[in-house]
Amino acid sequence: MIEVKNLTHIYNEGLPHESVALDDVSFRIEDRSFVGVIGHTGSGKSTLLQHLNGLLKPESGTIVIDGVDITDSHTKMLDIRRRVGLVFQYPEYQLFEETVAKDVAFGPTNLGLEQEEIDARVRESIGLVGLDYDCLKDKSPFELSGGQKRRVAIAGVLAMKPDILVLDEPTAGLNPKAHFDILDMVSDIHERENNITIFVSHNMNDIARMSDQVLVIDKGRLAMDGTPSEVFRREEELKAMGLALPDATEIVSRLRKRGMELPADCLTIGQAADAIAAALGK
Amino acid sequence: MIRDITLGQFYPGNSVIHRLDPRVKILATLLYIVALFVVKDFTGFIAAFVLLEAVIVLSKVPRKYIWRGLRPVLIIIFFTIAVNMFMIKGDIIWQLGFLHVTRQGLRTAEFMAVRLILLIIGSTMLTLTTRPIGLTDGIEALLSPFKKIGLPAHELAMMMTIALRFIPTLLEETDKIIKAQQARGADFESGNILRRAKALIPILVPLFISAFRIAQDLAMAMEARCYGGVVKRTRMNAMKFAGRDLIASIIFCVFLAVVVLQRVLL
Amino acid sequence: MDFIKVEDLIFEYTKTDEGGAPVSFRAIDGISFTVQKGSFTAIIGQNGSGKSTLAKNLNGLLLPTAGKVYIDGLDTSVPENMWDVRQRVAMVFQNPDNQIVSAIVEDDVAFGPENLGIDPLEIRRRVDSALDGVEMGDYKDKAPHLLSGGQKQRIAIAGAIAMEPECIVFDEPTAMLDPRGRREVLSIARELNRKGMTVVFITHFMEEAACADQVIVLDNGTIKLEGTPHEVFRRKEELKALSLGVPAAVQLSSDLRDRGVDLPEDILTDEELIEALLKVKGEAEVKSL
Repeated sequence: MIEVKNLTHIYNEGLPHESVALDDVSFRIEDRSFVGVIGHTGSGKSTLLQHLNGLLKPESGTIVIDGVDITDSHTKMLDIRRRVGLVFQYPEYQLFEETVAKDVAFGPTNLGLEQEEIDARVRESIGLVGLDYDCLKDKSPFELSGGQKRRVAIAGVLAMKPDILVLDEPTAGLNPKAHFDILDMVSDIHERENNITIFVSHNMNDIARMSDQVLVIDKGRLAMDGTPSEVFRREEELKAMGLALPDATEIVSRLRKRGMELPADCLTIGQAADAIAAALGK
Repeated sequence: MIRDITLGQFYPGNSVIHRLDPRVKILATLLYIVALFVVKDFTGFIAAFVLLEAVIVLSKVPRKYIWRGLRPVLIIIFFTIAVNMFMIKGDIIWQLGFLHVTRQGLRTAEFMAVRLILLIIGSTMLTLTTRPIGLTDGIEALLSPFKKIGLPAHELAMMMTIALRFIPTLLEETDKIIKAQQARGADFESGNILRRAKALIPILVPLFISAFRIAQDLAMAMEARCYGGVVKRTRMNAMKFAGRDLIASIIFCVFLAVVVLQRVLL
Repeated sequence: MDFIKVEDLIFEYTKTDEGGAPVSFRAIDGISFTVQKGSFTAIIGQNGSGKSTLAKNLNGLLLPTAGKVYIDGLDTSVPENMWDVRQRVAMVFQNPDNQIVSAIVEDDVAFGPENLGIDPLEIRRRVDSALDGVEMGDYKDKAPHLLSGGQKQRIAIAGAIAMEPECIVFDEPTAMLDPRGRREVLSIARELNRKGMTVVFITHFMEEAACADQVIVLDNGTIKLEGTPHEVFRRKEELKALSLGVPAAVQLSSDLRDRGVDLPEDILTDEELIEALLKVKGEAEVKSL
């Protein structure tokens, strides 16, 4: 379980251009949940994610993960990194080793594990991201396709066996096919590992379809926290923040405004189709 | 933190200093620097200070901004002071163990500090009041006589332009890569020199790859915008030598001449 | 009038294999199409479909291995035409950072016209009007690295406009942007097109293709589908086979038809779907009276 309490972060404190990046943010994430985070570029989402694995330290507030306060200066960094795996945006830009296997081994090696354990983890996590270990392990990561590189980079984080997997826009810049492949992979990993998965996305359809819980960040504040249907019901507020609705929710909402009697909580095209067909007596 | 450095940055404005021909500004800065090294007593520095002060006032660049550019180099200044203060032999005025401060040392230290500060502020004024393109155009123009002996003046200037443009981008990129490798448990802070040097590989390799990717994309984008075409390039802000440039040139030449004469005659 | 004419275009890259021997890889495999002057053409396809290679063939950054590309009647493979072609067809690339040359916004916009040897006063006029055109006039003295992705992309568009081309090829300009940036770029592209600019817009976001006059779907270096958005998007199964989606309204109306709701085949946008559904609802109410 993750418990974030009154988290506040200020950039450039004391300087004339200081700015509050996170302002008194509190929320709870239960074990095994799949959490979507939405908000504009510059809303503070990335700052929040970087707090979750100790890359940034808050001005005030605490983050307690399974009873351990990671904001405490006595908590060992490696201990935090072992618990929380953070996959950055465009993670393929961090690949650096000669071979795929060596690159994936970077994290576990830093954790100081035995060679045998490292090898086993490398093999396992390359499998987890849906790549063929024997075929790719000795290849240079730079020879792979864009989608494959991203998978290798994610495997590099998975190999640290985090209890919590945090992904910052895992599908940024990908084509439709690679986009869905990566999301399917993330949800497969979630099923298999029973971890907490937190992902940032600008795609409301993905957020609505995949998350158990949605966090909406606006100007450094936690503006909403709830299930997708609770959050996407608050159309006016979301639009005031410049955020969109899932496609299906948008169409249904407009039909409701034009006098059709439809439920307010349609999130996917399938749900919308069922509801509209029912309303038309089909 | 890195973004606070104003050294080499441009402060947008339209003052008479901003409008001076970049070639004149570059040459004036060179004259000024030469003069600072010719000066042998404080009267010379007072003259330099008055000149610099006039430039600052005319440029309308806020002093706070100039001061911020000076901060990162304070260390160098303190180091210079310390070296001069303790190293120069002469009449000892203060002593603690093997450390001793001499009258001559103190004087040299003061001298060097003033010279360095005047030098740094002076050259900062050049970059603060000259847009990067102007700077590179000016350098290109001043180097062009050397084209005859094979110096690629235009290419050098273009490289400078691109470097000025991409330094901030690469700094941001470096910051991202460092964080990403830290998230994978990388440790850049402990261990001996060899270990630390090795720890840099996970940063440097991705950074070089980024730099190459930028270079490739940028080359393509520049070609698409007809760079390297057959026609002679023109410039939006063509450099023009105006009346004010003549005045500025005269002032700085006179300044150098006075300083030199003072040194030779007195 | 045809502004761009592509005839049996083939493009091969030469790579070296592990042994160092050259291997050629065919990125574009015999495609032909035309783009009308003043039209908006969307090109969609997966990575590796050849769409970026095609874009670079449209202004002579790459030259055909075989076949021809004509821009306003000029053959791109004739060396004397190269600069005329590049002036007529400007390009905006995917990565907003890596196409801005200068550390000051307006100097960057001036880069193209300067290369064309335009008179300084005329460059000044073009730069100001191009920046106003993308609503970035207030940022002309700013450093590009302090701007958002969408703003950087607008600067890149201004840089293209300042060359006064007849056509702008957008090579996945929205792929790296957030939704706000994507909206900004798409609306500028449409606005330019409305004022008469020929636009070729390469994207993998289906909804961005919905407003085009012509859609071309590329796969493996060949044209798989071609036509108006209505013609292309109704071929849902073929698009799915290519792992390309369709706009939400198209998917929803097809799901509704499967459930027995009587909707026309050619619904493309949310507006069309909503109007059609309200019509169905009205008819049902009339019937039940």
